[in-house]
Amino acid sequence: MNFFREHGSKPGKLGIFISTSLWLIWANVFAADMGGYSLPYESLLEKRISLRLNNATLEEALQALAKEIDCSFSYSNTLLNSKHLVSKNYENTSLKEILTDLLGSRLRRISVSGNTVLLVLVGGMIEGQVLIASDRTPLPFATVRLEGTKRGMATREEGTFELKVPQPGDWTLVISAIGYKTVTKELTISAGQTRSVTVLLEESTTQMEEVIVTGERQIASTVTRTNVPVRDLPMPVMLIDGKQLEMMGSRRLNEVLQEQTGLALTTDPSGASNALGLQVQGFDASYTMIMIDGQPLIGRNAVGILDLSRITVANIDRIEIIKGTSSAMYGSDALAGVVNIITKGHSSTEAQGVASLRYGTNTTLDATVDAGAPILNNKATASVSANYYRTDGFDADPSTPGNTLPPFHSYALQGQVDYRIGGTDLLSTSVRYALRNQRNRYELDRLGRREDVNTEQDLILTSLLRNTIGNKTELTSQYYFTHYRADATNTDLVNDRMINENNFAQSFHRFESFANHQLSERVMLTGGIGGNSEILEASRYGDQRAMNTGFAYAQADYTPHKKLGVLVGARYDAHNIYGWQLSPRLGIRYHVNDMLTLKGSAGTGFKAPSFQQLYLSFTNPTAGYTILGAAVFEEEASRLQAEGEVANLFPVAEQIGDLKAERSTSFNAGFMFSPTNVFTLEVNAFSNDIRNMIFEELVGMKENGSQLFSYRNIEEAFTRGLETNAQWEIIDGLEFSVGYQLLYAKDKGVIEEIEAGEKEVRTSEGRRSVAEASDYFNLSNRSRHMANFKIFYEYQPWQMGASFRANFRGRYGLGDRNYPNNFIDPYDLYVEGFTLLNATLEKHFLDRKLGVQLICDNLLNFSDPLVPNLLGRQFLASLSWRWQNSENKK
Amino acid sequence: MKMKMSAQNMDRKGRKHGREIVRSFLVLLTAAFLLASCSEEDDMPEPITVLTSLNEYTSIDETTGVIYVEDLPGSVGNTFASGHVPVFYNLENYEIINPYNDEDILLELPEEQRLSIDWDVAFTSIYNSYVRPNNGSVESNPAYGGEGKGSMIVIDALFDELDLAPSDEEFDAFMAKQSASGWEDFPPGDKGWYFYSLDSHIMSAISGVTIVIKTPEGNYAKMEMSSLYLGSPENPTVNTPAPYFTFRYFLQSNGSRDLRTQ
Repeated sequence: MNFFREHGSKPGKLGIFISTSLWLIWANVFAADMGGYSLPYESLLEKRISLRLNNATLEEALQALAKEIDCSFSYSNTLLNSKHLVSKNYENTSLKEILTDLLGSRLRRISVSGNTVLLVLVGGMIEGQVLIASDRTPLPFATVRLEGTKRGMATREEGTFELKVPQPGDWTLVISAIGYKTVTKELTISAGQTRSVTVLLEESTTQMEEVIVTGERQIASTVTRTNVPVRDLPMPVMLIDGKQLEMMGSRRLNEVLQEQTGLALTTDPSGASNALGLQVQGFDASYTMIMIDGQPLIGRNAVGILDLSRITVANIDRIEIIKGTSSAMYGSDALAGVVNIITKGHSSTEAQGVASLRYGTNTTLDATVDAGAPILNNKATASVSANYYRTDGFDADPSTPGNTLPPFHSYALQGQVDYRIGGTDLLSTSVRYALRNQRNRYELDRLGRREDVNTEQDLILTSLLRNTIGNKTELTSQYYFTHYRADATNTDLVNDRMINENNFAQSFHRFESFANHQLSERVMLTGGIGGNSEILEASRYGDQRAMNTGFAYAQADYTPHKKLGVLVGARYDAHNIYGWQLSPRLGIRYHVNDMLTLKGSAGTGFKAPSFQQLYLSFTNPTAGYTILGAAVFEEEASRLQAEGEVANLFPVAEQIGDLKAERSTSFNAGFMFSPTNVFTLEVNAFSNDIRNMIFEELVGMKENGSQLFSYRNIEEAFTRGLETNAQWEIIDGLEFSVGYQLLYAKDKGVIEEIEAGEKEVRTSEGRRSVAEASDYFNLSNRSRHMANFKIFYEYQPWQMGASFRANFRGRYGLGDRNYPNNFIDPYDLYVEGFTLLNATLEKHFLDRKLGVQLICDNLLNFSDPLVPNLLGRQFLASLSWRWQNSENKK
Repeated sequence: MKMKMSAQNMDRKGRKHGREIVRSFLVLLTAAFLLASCSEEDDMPEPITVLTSLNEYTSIDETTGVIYVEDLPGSVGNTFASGHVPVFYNLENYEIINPYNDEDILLELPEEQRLSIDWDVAFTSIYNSYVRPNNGSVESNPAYGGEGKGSMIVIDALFDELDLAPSDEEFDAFMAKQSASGWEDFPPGDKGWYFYSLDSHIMSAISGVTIVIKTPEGNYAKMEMSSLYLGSPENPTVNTPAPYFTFRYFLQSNGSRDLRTQ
């Protein structure tokens, strides 16, 4: 494997060749008393001439000048390597002005010695082009950085770049791009030398890539909102790139995430909702923020799950997952981590698009059109994306009425316009609308046929303005609005009578301004300020409810030494109901050597009480119990008492009132070991402690014999574990990876009670014993072990690719079953460990324009009634067509 | 529990090195997968119980006299809102004594029968989940004002191992505290036979709980409730049909306290 094709400088056969050493001595002699262009031999340089150059090389231009002025030039031969042709017309222009114009930024100083003009060039230059390895097409927006300096640039549309090198010496160039493997190149630059390199970037297929998130793609890195390479971040970050998404053949977000190390899907334990949530480092779904292009999605169900199956992966460029608390940047709900879904950006010079169609088992249809084009003379880019998805659903448990995954159809539409103001500023506006309609029909015992219909709608509007002030400060201001609405009905089909109706509408406004400022070579500062306003109107929440939050955050990325990086930041949130929160974090990264990097981070996180925990007022029509939010408890409980509905309140009722935010402290420590370019091992140990957890508590008894519940901060818990990912590229195009997570997640109160001998366990048949520490497995839904194994293979000559992935989820407890001791003991209900196998096979035709993919998910057709979200085996075939309008191509 | 809870040299040596690392990884992974997929299923063979059918829902173990009731419909087709008709059960005849309509829907038991000693156990309240004896002197009892002097006690004991009914004093002491048994600790302090999960909204029987009933005729019986869900699935959902009684009991019809069944 050779990533580089190098054009090293060879001594020119033409022109004046002066050895580097001699040249240096000259430079030193003259540099002693000369500053800038202020020269004693002005007469020569001030000589005015007229000269016409037509497609001349620099050498020819200098020869022409030498002849005209009757002097000789002395310069580094590397200047002649430039392939630039110049066409210029100078009328009565001084030699100094001509030279400045011709040589531009390469010129550092001009010295005159007698009749010889010495051209002192800058320390050196590296110029080159970045190409995609597979098809040698230029790669724009790749980031090229000179390691140890703040010099760097994004490649142009033609994939070209050039960087000034401050001094002669050994330099390392780091070239990276999203979805490609980062390449480093060591170059020795002699004074005034311009080296030319062609860099080939190979596409990556696994998640542990080192990637720089570029500002040009509008979205800064999720972790820091700066262009810090993922490898330089001290926090555990996982990246699923577009290439991998494509090879996996996944349709919905849940399918992608469940294959990643340490992530598990969770469902509502009551089976009342079929929403699929995400467990990160052992935290429940409600503790992880799900974002699209850096802004949070809303619309969580009663148990805090934001349904991942709502979200299509059709127009996703990549997914970034931060594990561990991120409240220091994102505030509430980012207590366990953040999943940021980044939608596709489009080239600003070409019209391009892709259309795809997938069809398969369960009458699953997934159709997508995604297109973008430059408008307004290439000043702006407009893009549109549309997705339609339908499925017949699946029933993992035929013994219960209805499908465990109901049939649904969904539409998602997105439009975006990016307008470039000047060279660097950007105005971006996007709109996204999604609708999903679920319909579940079932026969309810002696009550006849029933139908549950659930319609969810999402609207997102974003407006963003990014200004670059000087070359050190970037200011971003954005307004974000999202509205989520869910309308659920339960109908008795026999009598055509609506039994239950539930409407829920939530709006969220955010204005936020943040800036990145390069204070010095070693310090990058980030700061932001903003406010959120959330409004809720729902049938179970009484009046319209509102929550307002103001926030400010600051972060410094400090590199005191080439090997050491420190990231420190904090966020302050002020909330109109639960008070204020300060969430600091600190991360440190240390490059021990080229192979080993150590990383560690610590921070605190919080989660504000939800609307439900504050304002719910709900009486279950089938079971009769009532749940009241803590903020409305007093008022609503007195009302119920006055209406004679409350038999008695338990003493604990007096403690219901102000809910505090749930708080966590999170530690992550690990290393990245990469002995060769083709092998990487990452290990991270995590420890999270959470307190003030909000739980439902039984607070009274109703006259009808049923219960009255409210919410209280009662419990403390921890999640600890170890995550390992290893990745190996065996041969070109064949990548192999394994991941593993070990998890201990327990309730501290339960542990204390067990230690005090206060907990009892009962065998399935009913034998009693005092609980021992070893009886406590984990919190419900937490597997001790989870593992995955993936192979991605791409054979370029045949334009074929294949993937094979195995995902193991270890045994986990579902809940108390034979005795209510509030912990998972060996006799409770468990889901036995299972492995899911997925495979894809693809071939591209017509210069990659046409793609055909065969997808098989759940090859073994594994199904378990206890895992309602598992679909049986699914076969799908996919056709895709890519087009590119090269008319505008320069 | 709702626990809301790279600058490298690309030399051959390096590649070989990487290969070794990966090879060891592969071995470890294979081992892990094998370990995880091997389950420990060397259970002892269960003792076989031979059951003789008595009716559609009932069968008897003739060696022990234990009667098994499975999926006996209670006041089905109702929700909390519509209410559940109290179900009255005769242990001796292993039958519900409530009348039924033409559509096989269970109807209220006429008052005179409620006050009679024709029944031994009532399944009352929400989803017929509260078990009561036939006792005319307890206000909340459906037999209030009637002749019945039945009683009950709920004990943490294995059904098979409970050999002797408790003393009258123990029965009286229990009845003084609570006169029905349903949800554990609801009302607070009450001994229940099931618990209701606030996460899953599912009721589960507590293992090792035996209800001892004294019938109005003065006989003792022991009873073990298992499920109110149709088919007694291991993981019912909120839509699983209920109430359908699944329980077993042993009635000592000679008036003695001897409840041995082994």
